[in-house]
Amino acid sequence: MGRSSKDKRDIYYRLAKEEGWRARSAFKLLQLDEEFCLFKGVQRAVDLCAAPGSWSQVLSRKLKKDDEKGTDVKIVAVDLQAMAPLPGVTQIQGDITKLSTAHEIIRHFEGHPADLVVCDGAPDVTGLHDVDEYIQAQLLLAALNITTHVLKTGGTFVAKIFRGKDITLLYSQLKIFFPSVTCAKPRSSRNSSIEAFVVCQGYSPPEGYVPNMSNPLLDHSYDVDFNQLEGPNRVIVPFLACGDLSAYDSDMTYPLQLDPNKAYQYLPPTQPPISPPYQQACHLRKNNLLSKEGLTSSCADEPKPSTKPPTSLKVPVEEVPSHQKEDVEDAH
Amino acid sequence: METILLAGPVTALEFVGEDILLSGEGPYLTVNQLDSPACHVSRRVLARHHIHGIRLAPQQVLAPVKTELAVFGGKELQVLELRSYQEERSVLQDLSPLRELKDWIWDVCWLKHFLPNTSTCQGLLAVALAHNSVLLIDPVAGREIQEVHCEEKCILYSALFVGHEWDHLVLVSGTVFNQLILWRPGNCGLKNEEGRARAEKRIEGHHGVIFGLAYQSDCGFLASASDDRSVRLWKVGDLTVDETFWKPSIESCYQPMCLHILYGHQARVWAIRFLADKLLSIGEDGACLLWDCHHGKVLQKLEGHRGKGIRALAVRQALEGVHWVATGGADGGIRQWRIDREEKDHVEVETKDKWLIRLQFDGHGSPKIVRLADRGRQMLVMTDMGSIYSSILGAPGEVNSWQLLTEDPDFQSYSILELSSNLDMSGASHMQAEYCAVGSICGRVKVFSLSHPDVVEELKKAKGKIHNLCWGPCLDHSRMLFVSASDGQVYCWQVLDTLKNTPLKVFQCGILLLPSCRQRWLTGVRYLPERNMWVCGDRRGSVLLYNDMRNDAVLGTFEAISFLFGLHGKQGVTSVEVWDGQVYSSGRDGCFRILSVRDMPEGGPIFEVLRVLRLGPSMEWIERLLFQAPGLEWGKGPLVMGFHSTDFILWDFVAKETLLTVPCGGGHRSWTYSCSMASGSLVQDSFAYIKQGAVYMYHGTRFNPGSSHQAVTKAGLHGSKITCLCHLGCVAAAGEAVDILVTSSEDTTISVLSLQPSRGQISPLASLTDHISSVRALAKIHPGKTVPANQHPETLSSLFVSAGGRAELHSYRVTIGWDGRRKALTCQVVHLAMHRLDEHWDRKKNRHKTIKMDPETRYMCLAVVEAGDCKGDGVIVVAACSDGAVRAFSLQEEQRRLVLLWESFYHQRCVLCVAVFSQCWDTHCRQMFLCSGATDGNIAIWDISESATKEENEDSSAPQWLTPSLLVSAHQCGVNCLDVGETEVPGQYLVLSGSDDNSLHVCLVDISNRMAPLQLLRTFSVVSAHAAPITGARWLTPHFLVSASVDQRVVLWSVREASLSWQEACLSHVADVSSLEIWQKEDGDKTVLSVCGQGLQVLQLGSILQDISCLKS
Ligand SMILES: C[S@@+](CC[C@H](N)C(=O)[O-])C[C@H]1O[C@@H](n2cnc3c(N)ncnc32)[C@H](O)[C@@H]1O
Repeated sequence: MGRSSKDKRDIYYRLAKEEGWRARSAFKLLQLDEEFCLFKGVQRAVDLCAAPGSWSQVLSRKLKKDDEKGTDVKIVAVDLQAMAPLPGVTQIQGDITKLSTAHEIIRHFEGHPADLVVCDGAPDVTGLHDVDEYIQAQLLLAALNITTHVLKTGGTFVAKIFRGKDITLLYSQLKIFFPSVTCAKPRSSRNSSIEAFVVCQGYSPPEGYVPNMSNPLLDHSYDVDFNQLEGPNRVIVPFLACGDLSAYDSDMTYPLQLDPNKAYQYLPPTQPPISPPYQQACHLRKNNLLSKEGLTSSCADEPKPSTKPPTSLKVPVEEVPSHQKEDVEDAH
Repeated sequence: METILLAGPVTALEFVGEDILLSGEGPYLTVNQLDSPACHVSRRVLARHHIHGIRLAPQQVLAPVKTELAVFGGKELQVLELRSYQEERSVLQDLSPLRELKDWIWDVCWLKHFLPNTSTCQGLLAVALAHNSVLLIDPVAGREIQEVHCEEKCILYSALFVGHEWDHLVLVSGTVFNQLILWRPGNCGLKNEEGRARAEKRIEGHHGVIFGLAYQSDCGFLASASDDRSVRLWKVGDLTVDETFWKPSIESCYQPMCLHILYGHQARVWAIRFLADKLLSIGEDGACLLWDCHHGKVLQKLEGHRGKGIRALAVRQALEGVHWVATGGADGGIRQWRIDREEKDHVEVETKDKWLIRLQFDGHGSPKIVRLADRGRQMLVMTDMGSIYSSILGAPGEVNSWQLLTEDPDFQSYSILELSSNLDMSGASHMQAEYCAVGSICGRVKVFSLSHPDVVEELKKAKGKIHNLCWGPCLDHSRMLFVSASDGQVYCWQVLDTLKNTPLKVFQCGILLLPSCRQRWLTGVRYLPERNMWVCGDRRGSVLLYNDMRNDAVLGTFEAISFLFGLHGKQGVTSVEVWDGQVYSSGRDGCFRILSVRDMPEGGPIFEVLRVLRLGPSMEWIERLLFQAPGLEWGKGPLVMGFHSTDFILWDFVAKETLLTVPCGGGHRSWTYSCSMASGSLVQDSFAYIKQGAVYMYHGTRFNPGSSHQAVTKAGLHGSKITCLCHLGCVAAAGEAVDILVTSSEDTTISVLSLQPSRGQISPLASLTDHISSVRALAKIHPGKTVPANQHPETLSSLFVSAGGRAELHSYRVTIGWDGRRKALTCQVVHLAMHRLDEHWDRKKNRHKTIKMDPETRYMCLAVVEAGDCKGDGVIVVAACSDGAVRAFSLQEEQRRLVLLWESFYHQRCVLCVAVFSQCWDTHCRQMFLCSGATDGNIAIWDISESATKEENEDSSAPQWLTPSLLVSAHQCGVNCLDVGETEVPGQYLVLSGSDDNSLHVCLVDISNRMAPLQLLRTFSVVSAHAAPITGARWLTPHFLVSASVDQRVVLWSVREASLSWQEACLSHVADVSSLEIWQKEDGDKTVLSVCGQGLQVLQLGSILQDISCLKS
């Protein structure tokens, strides 16, 4: 497949490159903001699971615009992966589920709580849906736990969520801390993807709640008495599709030439990933250096003959995966 | 709702003794009895989680097997006892109530001794939880004794216990932050000020998340598998005994020695296990690698699972003999692999039973042609000096001196040689005489019998060079020899079987004429007894049919009665085969085809391709198909011989696995293969080829695929997500109704499956591989209502269409029958037609005026409706397309054509689903309606009746009459599914839709007034019907419907007076649900539901007719 085929399949991927965003995810935050005015009055924000950094880009453009001088603006971005620097954004490289990372974040907001916490965390998908959903829930809960330490009362928490089999358990937990919880799906997030975002507004922890970082918040269990597992009594929060209907459709295949007056031009990704985990393996694979099984023959030293059959015609085409890989892929 | 069947990724495997393999699929634990497969037992042991691990208690009784098991997955843990007796069903009994812990479980360990002052602790379990803590529990008493946290609190991706004594127990945890953390929850471990266990040792080196861990105490090896696609092997010593490892080291960061970094997988590595001093790893690439831990080399690559990866791995380490490895795939399949002990030094050249060697050759000239005769025991070599040598093969690589058979200067530098038994593995050939024919550049052909090489018969000289020689099968004590000479003339000779009679008797028959082209010679020929005709393949890639020429006394010229020119492309046909009444052809285009001969109403019989089968990336160049071979069970073929890159490959088409790979360097001018039964269940392969003037020979034994220890314990379904499932109907198989289903998948294939509800078994009947991209949608053509509903038909014939990525559409007819003699279902698939948008565009005349068709367009959904008023077999197929179009095609089965009728870009957004319904007013008039739903939540309803009358023409743009009658803004975003139900009022229909916004919506429409446009009477909906996108919704009756969602709930709703009410729900174990299918059980009033996604689940719904009466009262 040519390099442009991804441009055809994914309009937001192409737009992100054109507009200089590091990932197509930027549009998701922008569209959430259109609906919820997330950035109104916000000066201090935390961006959890931020790499490669498109949400931090959005935050820094939006918050600085509101505050002319930009002096009181503070953005802390955290991710496992290294991230190319962004002006005005403080970066922490670490695991958000880890106590020490949490402490480091909290230290930045002591005395001056944050107005907004966003988390776009997606686990390294294993393809085993139950594991992926569980780990994604743990990322959200780790983010929530950090939030309880740094968010001002009345503040907003936005986090990615997988709409899987146990999503209602997360809703019930979020409802403890926020009176208003909405499940929102920006139009730039694919219809086929199980991701959505919870927008939690008006932070008000239960009375007497003491934030505690040393024990993780664990996800709830179904209430057996209520027959919540298979019964009708699950906590389902309102759903809202956000973004203008006239916006591009992320599921639609667009022709390469969108504007009849402007020829299509392939653009490289804005920010290629910094030392991804698979770097070495890819290098070895490209150079045919991966270990192979060998029935070593006595003629192993002979040169390969030139009579090679033609290469196969049918190569299974890798399609857009149905779940969360899209954002991770952006960077690649 | 009751589950009849669940098929999904196999996420846990464990051997018990020699004959039992436990497997976990969803929450179900299956006891596979390897010696008596019919006795397998399956039971649900967890409630809502998938099984991720099975741990056997250290104390076991092996005969009869009595073992305690701890089975866990997600947050659930269950302890059971397994008892099994030979050839009887095993018994699984709960020893504890099911426990749900507060956190995810990564590992469980049976403990031997607890605190020294308490008596014993038999039956206590240590449980490793996902936030790096260890829980000590008494599962039977249901008591949590103690929880120990590690000071390093973080989320883990893997954890592994080492040891069985609490005091010395070690936990190795794999973090997201690329580290292994080693700590001790028991008394020996160090604690910090808060009483948490110290993270005593950290091992660093990986560049990604740690997915898998393994430990080998004898060698003191620890291994870790990671997102970085590597496996690392660390020397740590005995962690539970050796205190030196735990000594606080002087250097701040103690690093154990990394022995090897093993890169071998093409993608991420999920899990690892030690097998003695070797290591096995499984990964996303679907491969299982066996590593030599000492040299860090791959010893063996075990491949066979379909698609995306292997999920489970178990080993059975034998003290002597062979080891066994079991792998469980994301495809739901289970395979077993034999690991030969001898292969330990596989890296060294020759083992006792496997070698590849250059043979000594001291004859006159340089070898040009090699052939194996006498089932691999004799070798014939022809040299460039025109000499033919023979040798009886002995021990490895040993040739018992080359014996010169004949020599002729006319056959120097150019010659053709063929044996009558070449590649005939049926075992029949050794009953007959084996002949050898040789041809020369000047048209000479000599024939002799191998048993009397001195008696040579020379045929009448042919015109020009002999291009090729082909032997036909043995018929009525004679064989046909086909001599391809110049100008496409093939001289046919009959050679009488003369075991005793010498000299040979040969008669000339007719001359076949090949179609004119540059390379005109025959490459394969077979006899078709049903028609008394001959099937041929030629170098130009054509497949041809000739009348029988044997009794032709006048030596006439025969032209092909029917032929498919260039069918296999310019690289040519490599073989033709006739098997079980069907014709097969293979070629260097990487395909083999199934053909049939059909009588045309006018004109004679013609060839017709029923199906094309591609082996995909596993074989680029197919040489031969073997339907009969030693060890191959009848009907379990074919085995496919061919070349891939630089290897010769023997591939088992049904089991989808490579049986033999010989690194011979690539496709050779001269090669030969033979196999025979060795001892027991072993098959012996011989493969010889010529490379750079030398003869090479491979010889080896392999396990017979059909032997008692089957390689395929359970066949897999699809390698990735199942996108659609369609019930085709039922057939009676030995008196029992068997359901026939088709599934489509992102793995680009379609499967035809049989479902035996009584046995809870699903088995693949055929796999269709015509799509080049992910297949997303299926739709079956309902037979017209005129066909009488036949209870339990003996055969089922069904027409369906499939569509997917790359704007591709295919249609098939499948015929399923029951073969009482062989006690098996038969399945014939005819690939009727295909349509690709880009090809359609390429054919267009005025294409410069239009924008180029985008081949990236995906077809998202299909609906079909019979256009038939009384005008024949026309079927209209409607597709929802990702480029914003709704397209309609006409399918003509007789002409085997799919034609684009029209397209409308009305929606301007990705169209996600379509549904059709029709109203018959009288025999001549039928009104057809289409509903289409897009990503903006809108549903359009169209009258498409005029499609049936639309002429096929160049212009496919939306015709005048094509505008929606109605547009309903039903949802906030994507409409994922649509279904139209009838009501009790004629002309009123219920349009049901389910959406990405979690809601269900119903519109009641009225079309009873034919003159007036369609009318919307009412709409109603349920906003939060599910907690996640709804991907399936179907009407059961006008008063009941079911919905399915990616929240994994299947919900039954009742409809009363414009409202929906929740009736009942069931948690499904299939993740990423993509569609819902319903059908009525043949016997009685039971309704069956099926959801598919990452696997498939079939549920049975009780009689709802009763419920209706309840509701009404
Ligand atoms: C979808 S990407 C975020 C994209 C980002 N919002 C942007 O706009 O560029 C998800 C990120 O989550 C990060 N992540 C996953 N698990 C994490 C963890 N435990 N701690 C911190 N980051 C994590 C991954 O490294 C990945 O970069």
